[in-house]
Amino acid sequence: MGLTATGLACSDATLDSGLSVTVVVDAPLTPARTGHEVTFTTDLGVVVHLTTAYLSSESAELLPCASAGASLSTTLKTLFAIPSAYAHSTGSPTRLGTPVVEDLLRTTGSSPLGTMAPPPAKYCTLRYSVGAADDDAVGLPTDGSMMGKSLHLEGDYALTAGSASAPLTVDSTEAFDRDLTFDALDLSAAGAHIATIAVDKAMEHWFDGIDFTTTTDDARSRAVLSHVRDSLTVSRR
Amino acid sequence: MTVRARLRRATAGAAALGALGALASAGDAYACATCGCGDPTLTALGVEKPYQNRVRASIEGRYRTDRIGAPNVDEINLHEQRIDVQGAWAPHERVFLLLTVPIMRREVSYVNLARKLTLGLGDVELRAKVFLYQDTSEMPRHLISAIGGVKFPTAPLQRDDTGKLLPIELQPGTGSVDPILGLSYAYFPRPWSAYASVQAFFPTKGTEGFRASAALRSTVAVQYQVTTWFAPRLAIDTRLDGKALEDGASSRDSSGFIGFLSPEVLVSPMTDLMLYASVRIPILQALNGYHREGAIYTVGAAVDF
Repeated sequence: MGLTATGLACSDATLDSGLSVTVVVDAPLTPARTGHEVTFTTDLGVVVHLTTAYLSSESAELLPCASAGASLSTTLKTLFAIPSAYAHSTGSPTRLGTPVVEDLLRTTGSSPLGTMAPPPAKYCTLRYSVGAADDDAVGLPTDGSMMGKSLHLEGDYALTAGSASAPLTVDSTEAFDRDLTFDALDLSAAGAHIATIAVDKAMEHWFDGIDFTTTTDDARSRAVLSHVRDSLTVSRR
Repeated sequence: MTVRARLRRATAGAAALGALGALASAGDAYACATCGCGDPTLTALGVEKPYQNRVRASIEGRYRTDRIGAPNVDEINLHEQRIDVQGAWAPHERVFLLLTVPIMRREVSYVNLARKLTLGLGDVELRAKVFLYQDTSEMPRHLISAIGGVKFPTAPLQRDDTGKLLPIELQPGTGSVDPILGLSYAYFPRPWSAYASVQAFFPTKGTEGFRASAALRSTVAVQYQVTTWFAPRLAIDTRLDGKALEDGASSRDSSGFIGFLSPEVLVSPMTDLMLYASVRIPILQALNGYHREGAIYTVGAAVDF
C-alpha cells in the first residue's frame, strides 16, 4: 500500500492495485542482428541486408475467451468497451490505443505498449493492430522516415550471395489486425492479478516468395507486410 | 414563550430540513462535483430570522454512494464519508453567515477491482442568508430570504507517489471558485411549518480542464412540531445538473435530474442542543450517461451559544 501526504491532514492510499495486464512488443527473435543491422536469405536465395527497420503498432486489445464459460453479457461489454478507462485517459480497460513505433533492429529488449486495467474475465486473445504512425506515436524517429507509415525498411539486396547489391526500400501505409491467441488468462479476485503479454516476431521470412526482378515496389510492400503479419506470435509471462 | 425559546423551537423544526439541505454543502465529489441535494443553510442557520450576534456551531456526518460509468467497462463506485464542521454568526438581525469546513474520506473502486482511498480537507464554503421580507415584526408567518455564497478551492490536489495527479474522482474538491445564488421561503402555520428554497450553482473552471456541473437545487419540506423537543420532517429535494467538463470536453456521465424523498427526525434533549438524523432516498433518477446515486445518510448535532 502506498501512502503519500500532500498537505495538512490529506493523504491517499492504494488499498488494492487491482487487475492489470501489460503488453510489450519484443525485439525480433530471429535472425540475430549484428550491431544495428541484419542480413538474411530468402527462400528464393535473395540476400537481404537491412540497416533501418521500423514497425508502427497502433493498438492492442484484450478479448475474452469465446467459450461457454464467458457470459454473453461480459463478452459483449468487453468487446464494445467504451473508450476512456478513466475519465481523463484514452483507450479503455481492455484496449491500448497509443501508437508505438518499434525499432526492429534493436538487438534486445521489449517496447511497452502500455498497461490495461481490465475487468475480471477469462481472456484468450490479443487483437494486435499495426497502422500508420502519426506525430503522437511513441518512439517516432526524428528524421520523419516513419511519419504516416506503418512499415519502413531500408538497406540493400543481392539476387544471389556474392552478387552486386542494389538499394532496397520498403514503405507501407496499410494497416492490419491480427488476433493472437494464448492460453486462457483468468483475471479475477481469486485468480491472476497481474500478467504480461508479449508480441513476438521473426524477420527472416519477410521477403520469402518475392521475385525482386519482377515485383513492383507496391506489390513487394504488400507482400512484406503480409509476411510481417504472419510472423507474429504472442506469449504470456 | 420568550423570543429565544420561540427561535429555538423554530430552529428545531428547521434543523430537520437543514440536515437534508446540508447534504449538499461544499466539496462534493469530483466524480460528481455537484452531487447531493437540498439546502445546506437550514441546519446551521434555521429558517427563522436571527437576533443580532447569534452564534451556532454544528457538526454533521454523512455517508453516500455513487456509481458512475458503464458497468464492467469504466464504472467507478464511490463511497464517501464526510464530516462538516460549521459555524454560524449573525452580524445583523437580517444577515446570517455560515462557514462550512468539510473533512472527507473517499474510497473509489474501479472495474479492475482496484481500490483507492483519499482523506483530507474538502472545499470550504461561505454562505450568507439575507432576510428580505417578513409579514409581521413578531412571530412572522411568512419569511423570504436571499442566499448567496462561494465555495473556495481549499481541498489540496491529491497526487500519487510519482507526483502525478490522482484521478478526478478521487480529488476531494473541484479546484474552482463556485458562486451560489438562491431564494428561500418559510411559512409557519404552527405547529406546522413549511420551507421551500431554490439555489443555483455556477462552477468555474477547476483543475486540469475540469469544470463541475452547473446545478439548480430545490427543497420543499413540511415539518410538524410534535413536542418542544421532537419534530419529524419530510422533504423532497431535487437537483438539475448541466454538463460537466473533463479535460475540456463534455463529460458523458454528467447532467440530468434526480429527486430524493427525505424523511428526518429532530430531537432537542436539552436547551440549546439539537440532534438530527435523516436519510435521503433517491426516488427518481433521470441522470444522463451511466450515473446512479445511492441513499444519503446523515446525523448531526448543533449547539446555540
